Amino acid sequence: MVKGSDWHPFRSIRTALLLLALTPLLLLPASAQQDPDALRPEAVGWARLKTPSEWWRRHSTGDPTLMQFLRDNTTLNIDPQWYVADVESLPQLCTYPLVFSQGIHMLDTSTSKTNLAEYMRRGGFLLIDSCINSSITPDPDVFLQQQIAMLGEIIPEATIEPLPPDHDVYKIFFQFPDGKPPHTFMDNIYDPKWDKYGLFGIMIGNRMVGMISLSGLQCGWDRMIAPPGHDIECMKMLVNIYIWAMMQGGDTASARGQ
Amino acid sequence: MNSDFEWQFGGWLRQLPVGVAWGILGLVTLVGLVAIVLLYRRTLRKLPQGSRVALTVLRVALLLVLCVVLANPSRVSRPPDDANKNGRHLAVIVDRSGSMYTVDNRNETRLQNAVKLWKTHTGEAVLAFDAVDHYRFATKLEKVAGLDEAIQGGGPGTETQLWRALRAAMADSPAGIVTLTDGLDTSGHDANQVITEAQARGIPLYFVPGMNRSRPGNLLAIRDVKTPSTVLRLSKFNASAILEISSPRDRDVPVALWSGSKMLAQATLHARPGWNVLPWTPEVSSGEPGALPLEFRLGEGVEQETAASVTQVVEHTSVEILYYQGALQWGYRFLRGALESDQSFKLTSILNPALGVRITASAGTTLEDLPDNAGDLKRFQIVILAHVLADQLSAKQQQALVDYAKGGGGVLFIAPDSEATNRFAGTPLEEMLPIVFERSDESPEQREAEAFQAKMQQAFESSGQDAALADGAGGGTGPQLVPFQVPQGSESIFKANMPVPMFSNYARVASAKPAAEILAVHPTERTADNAPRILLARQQFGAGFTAAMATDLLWRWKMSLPSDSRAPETFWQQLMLSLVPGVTGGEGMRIVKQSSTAAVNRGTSLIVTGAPAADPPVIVAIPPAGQTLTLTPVASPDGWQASFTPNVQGRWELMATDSKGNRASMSLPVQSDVVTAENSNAPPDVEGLRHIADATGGAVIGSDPVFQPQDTTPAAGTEAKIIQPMWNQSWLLALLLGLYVVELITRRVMRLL
Repeated sequence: MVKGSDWHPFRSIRTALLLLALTPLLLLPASAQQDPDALRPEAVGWARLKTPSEWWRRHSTGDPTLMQFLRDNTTLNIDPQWYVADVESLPQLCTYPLVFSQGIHMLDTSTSKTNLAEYMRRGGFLLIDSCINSSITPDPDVFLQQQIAMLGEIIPEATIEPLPPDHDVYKIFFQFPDGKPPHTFMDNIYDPKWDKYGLFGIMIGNRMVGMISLSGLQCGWDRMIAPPGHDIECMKMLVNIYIWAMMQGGDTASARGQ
Repeated sequence: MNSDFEWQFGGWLRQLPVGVAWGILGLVTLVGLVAIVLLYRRTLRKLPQGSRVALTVLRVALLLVLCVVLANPSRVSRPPDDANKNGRHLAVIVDRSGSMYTVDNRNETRLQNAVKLWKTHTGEAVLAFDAVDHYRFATKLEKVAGLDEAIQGGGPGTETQLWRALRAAMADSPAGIVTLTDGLDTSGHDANQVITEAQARGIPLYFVPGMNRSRPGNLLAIRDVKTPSTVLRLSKFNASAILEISSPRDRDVPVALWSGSKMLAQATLHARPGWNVLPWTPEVSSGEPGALPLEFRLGEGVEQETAASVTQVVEHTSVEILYYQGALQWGYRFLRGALESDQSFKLTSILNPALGVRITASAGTTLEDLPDNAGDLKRFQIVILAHVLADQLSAKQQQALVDYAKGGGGVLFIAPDSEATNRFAGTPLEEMLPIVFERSDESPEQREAEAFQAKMQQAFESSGQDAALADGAGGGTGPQLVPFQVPQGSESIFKANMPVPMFSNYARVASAKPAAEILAVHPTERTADNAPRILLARQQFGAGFTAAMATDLLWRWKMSLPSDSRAPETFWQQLMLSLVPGVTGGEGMRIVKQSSTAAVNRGTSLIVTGAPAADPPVIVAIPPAGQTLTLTPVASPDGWQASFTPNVQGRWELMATDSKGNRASMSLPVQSDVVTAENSNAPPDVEGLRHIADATGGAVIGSDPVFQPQDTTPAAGTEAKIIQPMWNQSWLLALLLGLYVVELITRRVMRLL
């Protein structure tokens, strides 16, 4: 034993042997290991739907965290910055394959309604996630009905279908064994009115062109008061929704019988 | 080969006897060992006994391993002692087919003519080679005892399987092959395979042409036609015909493919003097659903020969596609939507397992990764590889794709990323593609830096669009889309008035391979040779097709078009159909003749293939004048067989109609005697033989000497052997490095460093 130190010969030798065992790994050809960055294809941006609502960009401060989570956990090449997709501009909408929205019930111009419908018919994916703040969304039931009503107005052929617990969106990347999205609650107080809702698919024929969440996923990843780890769970759910949207056929022409 | 273990040593030690070399090396090692022990006995710091021993052992182990490496342990392989004996033998092959017995006005046959010439060279052959083996062939190669038996034994054969005989003879690895022949091969195959095999084996091919003064004849005949029984509408497929042309001199013969009154394709075939068997395979556009009659016409005027069949064009059939995605990207969503908008296309998807994405497989889809044997790919007509990196696919998986395409499958490779395509250099996958991707000399770091700079520039350009937004970027309208430019004559998959596809990313292509059909190029970007950058190309590969698309999956184009535009769907579906040879497989109904011509008052037979097995077709023989003969079809393993005896000379027409109304026909020249390749008096194909000989390092043998006597005695002191060092192993080098690293770390921990 060396004086004045807690050095132990066997511990050092054990460390040395471990290093020795790991040394051959250094000689592995680079091609034997898949570089995650090499798997990243063309970059796409994460966009929020700009609507007449004053809340359209609420929780956007948490979006860079979400983007980083997407990059860290998947091979998606998503831009860390979030972008604006103005519902009044169809070319701007069509720049993004998926657009995130706080809700669409407040659309009040024919241009915005036509644009959003055309965006989804071309193959874009609309993700609506309600904020659970009671001052913004007082009643989840009303919120859901408002979304359904607006979708029915702008895309008459669309249907809204609750997704079953065994749907792929709950297991495509991260596992949600109970087949439910994580729910954020106002002031972290459980509310069955919110908790009863799973995810809803916006369907044109057999194609899913969007999804509705009443889980406050954005509130979760923006770190509202919630149990530890809840922000991660919300981001995991978002990752699943995002990947699932990528894996579905985007064309709706056949569904419309064209 | 015999393998032995030996200490080979290196440098000047190699010149010494092994014992002496080991003695010197051992002495040096011993000095080293003593030095190690002494040095570790007195270190700068006082060490515990255990540590001292451990460090000494590590250094000693390093020295001993190094000593073993310096001794160069190797496996030495030597050929057996008798390998050099009889190593150079010459194969002499005699063509005994019927054409070699053609007699001229001097009553000399081609065989006699060739033997007479060869006998003037046998002395050279004996001096130049250790042994001379003799063979004869007509349909099959047989080894015989000597030249006399090769000439005299057996009778003339009815066929000349020249290429087959040469390939069989090459199996014995002779130092050279001499063939006494007139160059007439009746198998219908070309000589390229023989040339390739001879080049690969390093066997020069020599020919002694059998020539005489017999008068050659003229003959045009369609031996066989092949067309698919059904194809998809608006697709491309191949129809093929094997044509026989016998001519006393060089000749150009027109050939055309007609559908009713419309000519679909035409060509002029060049025939050399002699017997020519020429394949012709035009590409046909299927058009709209319905019956598509196809008629091959060879020659013109009274000598024209015809053969016809019918292909059914159908609206829908199933095109099974296997889609393999290497990286997560949005293009898949849009490609899948485009293909599934037509029920003809069935898509099975596999995601690179490294992506960690799990999708519930639909019924019948059980593949979790790309198969590593072509058999598992057979049920698919097309395999799409999108955003794939070379190291994602094993050598077996890549080889399976090559075999699959050669066997008739279609492979579409999509890659918009030059960095990814760089990784395919030298892989089997790159070899099968119709293009060569540009190699980049830039390092990944350089490329990353450039990409970053470009992005920053773009960000600056778009800034200010929405100044009110402090934390969200201005929306903009995304990357600029660039349209495909379609070269003239390559509009096959682009429908008229259809918007051309547009892309945002592309990989740089250096060039197209010789057989490639360039379907689209970049409108502005050029290569260093000032050629347009290729974006989309395809080529025939074996019995299948391969295509490469150097752009993204065009999802931004789809999103830029009105939702009622069908352009993306049409483009993708047309591209897929262009990769499916024959689409539905199976051959259309056709008539196969027993011989190219028939003789008056001699029975001839024919076979109808492709007709339903349950319902016999109606087969008739129509003479140039007189009453049509209705023949009786008899079921046989090869199809429906029928026979008849022509009673007049001239051009007869054979016609078969099946229960579905499909019709096949073929003309049949009836002469006073049956003309075959063997008795057509076709002149020897000396030029063809010369081409083969030149390509393989041999010669067409004339009166000049061709073989030089060779001194085969090995040079003194030389010995044939292969030395494979056994120390050159990564694990051994890792061990050396590891021992050294561990010792250094331990010394640092002990504060000796």
